[in-house]
Order: sequence, then structure tokens, then C-alpha cells
Amino acid sequence: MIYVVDVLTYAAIMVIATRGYMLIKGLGGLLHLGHAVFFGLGAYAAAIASQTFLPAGAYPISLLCGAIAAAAGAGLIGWPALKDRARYFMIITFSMQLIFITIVINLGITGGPDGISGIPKVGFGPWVLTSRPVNLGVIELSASSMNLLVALLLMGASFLFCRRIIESPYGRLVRATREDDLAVEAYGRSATNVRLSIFAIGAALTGIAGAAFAHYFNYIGPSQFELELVILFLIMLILGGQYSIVGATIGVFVTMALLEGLRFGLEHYALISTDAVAHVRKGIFSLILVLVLIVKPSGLVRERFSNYRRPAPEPGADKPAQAISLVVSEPAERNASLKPAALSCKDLHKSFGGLVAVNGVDLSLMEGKITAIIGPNGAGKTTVFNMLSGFVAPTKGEVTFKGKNIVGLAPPEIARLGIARTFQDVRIWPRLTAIENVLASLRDQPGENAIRLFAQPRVSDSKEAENIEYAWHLMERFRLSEKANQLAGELSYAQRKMLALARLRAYDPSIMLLDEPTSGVDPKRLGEFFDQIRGFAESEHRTICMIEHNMTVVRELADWVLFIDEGRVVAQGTSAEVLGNRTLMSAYLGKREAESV
Amino acid sequence: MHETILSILPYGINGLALGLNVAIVALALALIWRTVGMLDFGIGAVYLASAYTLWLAKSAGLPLVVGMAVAIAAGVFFSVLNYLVVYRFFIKRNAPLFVLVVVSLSLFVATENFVAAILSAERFYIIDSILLGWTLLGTRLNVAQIAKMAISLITLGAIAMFCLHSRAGLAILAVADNPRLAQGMGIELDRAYIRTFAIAGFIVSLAAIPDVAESGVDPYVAATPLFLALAAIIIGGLGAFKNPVRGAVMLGLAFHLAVWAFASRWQEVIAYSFVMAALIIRPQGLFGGVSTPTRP
Repeated sequence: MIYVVDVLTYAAIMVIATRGYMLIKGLGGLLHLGHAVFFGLGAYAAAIASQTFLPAGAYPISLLCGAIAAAAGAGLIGWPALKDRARYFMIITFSMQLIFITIVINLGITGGPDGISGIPKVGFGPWVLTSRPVNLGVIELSASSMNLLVALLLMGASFLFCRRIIESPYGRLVRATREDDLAVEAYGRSATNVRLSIFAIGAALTGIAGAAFAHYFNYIGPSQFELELVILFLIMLILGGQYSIVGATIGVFVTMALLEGLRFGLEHYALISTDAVAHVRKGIFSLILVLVLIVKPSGLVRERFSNYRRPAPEPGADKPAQAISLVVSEPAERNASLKPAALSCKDLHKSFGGLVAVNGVDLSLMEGKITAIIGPNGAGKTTVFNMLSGFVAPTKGEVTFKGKNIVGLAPPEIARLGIARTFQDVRIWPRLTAIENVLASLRDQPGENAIRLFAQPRVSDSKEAENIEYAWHLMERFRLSEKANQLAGELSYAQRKMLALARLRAYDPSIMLLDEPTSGVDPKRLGEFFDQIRGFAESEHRTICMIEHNMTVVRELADWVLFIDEGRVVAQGTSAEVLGNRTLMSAYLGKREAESV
Repeated sequence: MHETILSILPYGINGLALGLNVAIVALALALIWRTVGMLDFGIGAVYLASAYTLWLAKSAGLPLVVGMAVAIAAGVFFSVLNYLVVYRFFIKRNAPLFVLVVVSLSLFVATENFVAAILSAERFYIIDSILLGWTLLGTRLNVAQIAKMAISLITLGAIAMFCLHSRAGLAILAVADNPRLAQGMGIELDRAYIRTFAIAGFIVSLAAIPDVAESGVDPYVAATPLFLALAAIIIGGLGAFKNPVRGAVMLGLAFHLAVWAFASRWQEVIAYSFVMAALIIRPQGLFGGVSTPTRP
């Protein structure tokens, strides 16, 4: 019985650590291969703190020390590793695993290769767990059962913590970053900060598990945190399902059952030495991981997506009228952020090596008007957009917004000024639902800050409720309400294009840069796009700049047209002037198409 | 000053020997990364296969030279086998990079443990006698160390020649550069991948043989060269095949000069700190050019 209780206690601790891994790998999408480090950091921090400065019975503070140490470790590794778009992250975290063991073996404070023994047992204030049974009034528990109870309580708390994160605006932002970091930056958030924060949070949770492990076993040593533990975490996470809290829980219990079953089978039925049993067990487990990846790569439990309910209409509200209105009036406070737009660029140049993509473009966007940029493929149109939105730094030239040169600002900083964009290849967040795409883009979200999420839960929750209502309002406006709870990646191309507009509108910029907003859209549906884009400019007084190849769209929408070729503005004028220039149009579209414009 | 140089020199020479040895493992990793698009920890299993084959051949009474040839054949065989039996399944299903890496890591750990279970975790020596050696500028170099350096330099040169001047080598380079375009030009990816794994197995065996001939073989003998090769990739970057080689040489020097400057117990800490420093200064590698693996 004690054996079963001990295994369950260990499993409960591993569940907490695996949930930390789930936050990093599943929710955050970070290719992390050094999870045993955070478990080890938590364990060593708790052990050292308990043996040096913490009084007996300071178990919660010791757990906190574990969390802080692991989060600090994550920050130390994550900051340099994540700033270069995480391409090396997997190699770095794996190296971190190797460095950690080397450091632990060589440091005096960690007990070197012998580790640390005599770590205090669980204790709360004056009460410290001993080998004697504990009387809880209604039931008397043995020391082992008491350990299990504490571990289960921690496991329960970690469930609530993870659920709060996953279902929050912060969790949504983390998932959006996992899906497409560039789109996140285009909507005013720093992808690196988001990744770093979830890395630190997952590490902190794992650090708590490590601290609990140290107090439970009363001994820790370097061999407990080696590569085999990384493999064990990977099996537990991948088997259960890396995108789910329930999966991360089931994965641990199934793995532990297999592990113990295998130990029993090998010890009793296999004719091999005790030493060999441990090796065979590890070997088989590594192969089980490969098998799981072959048979069930998504794990036992799949990712669960929130189902957002449409808010009930208020009594007497004229709901149908609002539903069919394409350009509805906006709440006053949302329009308050709109100021006269004044984006211009002067003598803009961009070279990629020897290739001159943009060669001295001057551009001035008129407030509340639609400017179209046209020109052949490779003319430099998207490069101009990339420079205006900060994704590409100009080689030379100025971009001025409200009298201030914004060259050198990062994309999120430019977006926060009120300049936002869409992408030619749409770049919606495919594994977020349609309404989540809109919600994730909204600006004012206290709950997307992990600290405020827990420090000001009421503020976060009430704003989220308000935002959900507003997102439904936008879904109806953009005729996507029937698809609101469908994954964005499953929408048709035209619906994704429309969702990109809805997402942009949700961000509420004063200047909208639309990169081929209607490309690939069925001509029969173009009218819906015209209404929305025209509405942005005419009803909401936003400044629009769009790249477009479809001359019907340009003629229908543009107040001013720039023709760019070979990185220069070749001609500009009203759409009638530019599209009416036969020489220009023939060179661009070919003679036959030019005649039909 | 003269004395300082003389005291550093042995460490420098040993560092160079280690760096060159690590360089060919790093080159194998880089070759697979850029061509197949995965980080293959499975070459640790290949290293072990080659090392234990050499020991088994020696134990069976075969001459050392024959044992080496068999060990190289075993390395090539196991590397290609890893691809055909395991990796190809995942690659054909467009498995994400993380899955491929986890699979290769599992293969490596499984091999280590099964070898330990079957043949014990004990260290076996291939050559029992003291190796023949010479003193060069105050540094004693044995025949295995000299062989290591010579083999590494010859291998690096031979691989460069093969890639630049043979049809098969050019096909591998084409796949590494742009797999879709290579496929469009009629290069069969599967064949290019098999060749890549065969070459990787071959050069990893060339790293394993002198190493285990000098120090003996145990189930964990592949870990250090593999992990140092990984560190070399971080230091050098993966923009070009020569970058991890440069990184490996720098790492080898750091590894041994750390002993000269501090104490031997800090050797790994200093070397890996060098990795972290490189990471902070230039996350894309000291020699630049991050390459993200792509598969069609």
C-alpha cells in the first residue's frame, strides 16, 4: 500500500512539472528540450534555501524559492535564445540541460556529485511532517498519505492555475504567438516577450514541482535530472496530449503505470540482472516514445477550444437591424482614439545585397482617403509596406507619422502608434477560432498581461466579457458570426481574407495598410469587401493604403493611385487618371487587359 | 612570455586535436540538418555501433585494420538503417522538426541503454598497451591523437572534394540548398537522403574509431562528442558547412585552454559558457548565416 501511495505521490509531482512543460511546449509552441533543468533548479533552490536560511515549516516559501529559481533560469536562457525568432531554441535548451548537470556536479553548494541529503520534510509553520500518523479530525493519515495529500493539493492548484492561463486573453495571445509571431507583432505585441513570459511561467510551475520533489524525497543529486528525465517528460507530455491540461495529467499516470508495470515484469519474469533492468526499462521507454509518435502523435487528449457564446440580446434591442448592417456605428470611446492620420515617407530606399527593391519612393497618405499602390510583381510594393510597418528597415529615407520619424521602431511599437496592416498571405492564426482571431487583436485587454490576470482578476474578467460582446458585434458586421467558433484555418479563403479585415478593424488603427485584401476572392463576393474597406475610410475616417492588382477594386475604391515599378513611383493621380493612362496600363497589364480596364 | 607560450602550447595542441575530432561529428550533424532538415541525435547511436563493432572485431581476434574497416561499414549501415526504418516514416508524413528530433534522441538513449543492458556499462579497451607517442614542442602526442588529427583533416578535405566535384555530392548540396528546386531538377530526394546518411555514418565512424582506440569504449562514450558537436553548431552557426567546423575547433581550444587557465573540473563549464556567450553575442552563430531546414 505504501508503495502505491509513494508512486501516486511521485506521479502527482510529475503532473505539476508536465503541466509546466505543456504550457511551454503545447500552449507556447516552444521547442524546448531541457525541461529537467527547471525541475532540477526548483529542487536545488528549495533544498539549499531550506538548509541555509529558511526556518523549519517554511514549505510554501521553499516552493516559492523553487519557482523563482526556475523562472530566473528560464529568463536567463530565454532572453538570448528567443530574441532571434527561436530558430536555435531546441539546440540551446538541450545544451542548457548538459550545462546544468556539469555545473551542479562541480559546485560546492549543490553538494557536487553526491547531491544534497537531509532536506526537511513538508512543514507548515509549527507543524512539520514526521513519521508519525497525522490526525486530521475525521481521519488519521500516515506520513506517506499526508505527503500524497499535499502533492494532490498542489496538483489541484496547478490545474486551476493552468486553466486560468489557458482560458484567459493571455493564453489566447500565447497561442496566437505560437501560430504566427509576425502577425502578433503586427498587432502591437512583442512576440519575444510573450514567449519569454510563458517560458518563465512554465518553468516556475516546474520549479514548484522540483521543490516538492526535493522535500518529498529528502535527497537530490545530479543523476535525478539527467537526459532520461527529459525523455520521461517528453513521453508523459506527448502520450497524454501536449495541448491539454487533462492530457498532461493522463499522460503522467499512464506513463507511471507503464513504468512500474515494466519494472515489475522485468524484475520478476526477465532473467536479467538488477542493473540491466534499469537499462532495459529506459531503453524500452525511449522506444515507447517513438511508438507513440508513430501511432498517436497528437496524444490521447486533443487541444480543446473555447466555445464563445453569443451574448443574449438586451430586451427591446433591434438585433436584426444591427446584424444586417455592414458598417455600424461604433461606441464613442472606441472612435476617440482616432486622430488625423499623417503618414508619409520620403526618399525611401531598400537594397537586399545588390538588389535594389525600393529606390527613392515618396508617399503621402491622405487622411480618411484610400490610396492604392499598383505595379507589377517585384516592383517593391510589399517592401514599401514592410518598411512602413517596421518589418524591414529602410536602407535610406524617412517615414514620418504625425511629424515624427518612425524609422527604427519595432513593428509592435509602430502598430501601437495606430498603423496596422494585413498580409498578402493572410496570416490569420489558424488554430485559433475565428472569434479568437478578432479577440486576440483587440487592444485594451488587461487579461493579456500574465501579472494583471492574477493580480486584478475582476478587472481582467469584466473587460474580457465586454470584449467578447464587442467581438461578436464585429463578427456580425463582417458576416462571420456563423463561423465564429470554427478554427480559422478551416475557413474558406475568402472568409479568411474577411477575417483578416475583421482582425485589423478589431485592432482599431487610424492607418490601415492592406496588402492585396481581395486577391483570390470570388468576384461575386467583392462587393462585401468594397463595403467594408469603403466603410473604414468614409464612415470611420481611417486612412487606407492598399496594394492591389485587381483594377476593378482600384477603380471602385481608390481616391489616389500610385504606380510603382522597379522600386520607383512612376506615376500617380486619381484612379481615372492612372488607370486611364493607356501607355502605363499596357506596359503593366498587357495590351488586351489594358483595353478592358 | 616564452614560458607562458610553452605552457599553453600542449593545451592548444590537445584542443586542436579535440576540435578537429568534434568537427567531423559536427559536419555530420550539419550535413543531415541542412539536407534532410533534422537534428539527428541518432548519430550518437551510429557512433556507438561503430565503436562496439571495432571492440567486437578486436575481441574476435580480427586484425585492427580489418576491425576498423568493419566498424566503418557498421557505422554506414546503422546510419542508413536509422533513416530507412525510422526517420523515413516521419519525413514522408511531414512530421514537425520537434518530432524528428525527439525520435532521434529516443533512438540514441535507447541504444545507450540496450548496449549497457546487453554488454554491461563497463569500459572495454581496444588497445591494452601504451600507445606509441612522440613529444612535439613539449606536448606528448600518441599515435591515436595524431591519427585523429590526420583523419579529421583528410575527411574534411575529402568531403569538400566529394560535395564539390562528384555528381552525388552536388546532388546533396542541391537538396541542402533548395529541396523543391532540386526535386524539380530531377534529383530523387530519397536517394539523396540515403547518401547523406551514409556519408554521415561514414564520417562519424572515422571520428569514433581513433577516439575509442585511444580511450576505450562504454555505452556513454558517444555522448561527449555528440554534445560537443552540438555546441560547435551553436558557436559556428549552420549557414555553411564550414561554420560548424570552425566552431568545433574554437570549442576544442576552449575546452583545453580552460584547463590551463582554471582547473580541469571547470573544463565543461567553461566550454559551455563559451557556447552561452556566443549565443548572447551572435545568436545566429559566430560565423553567421542561420539556416532553417526545409523539406518539400
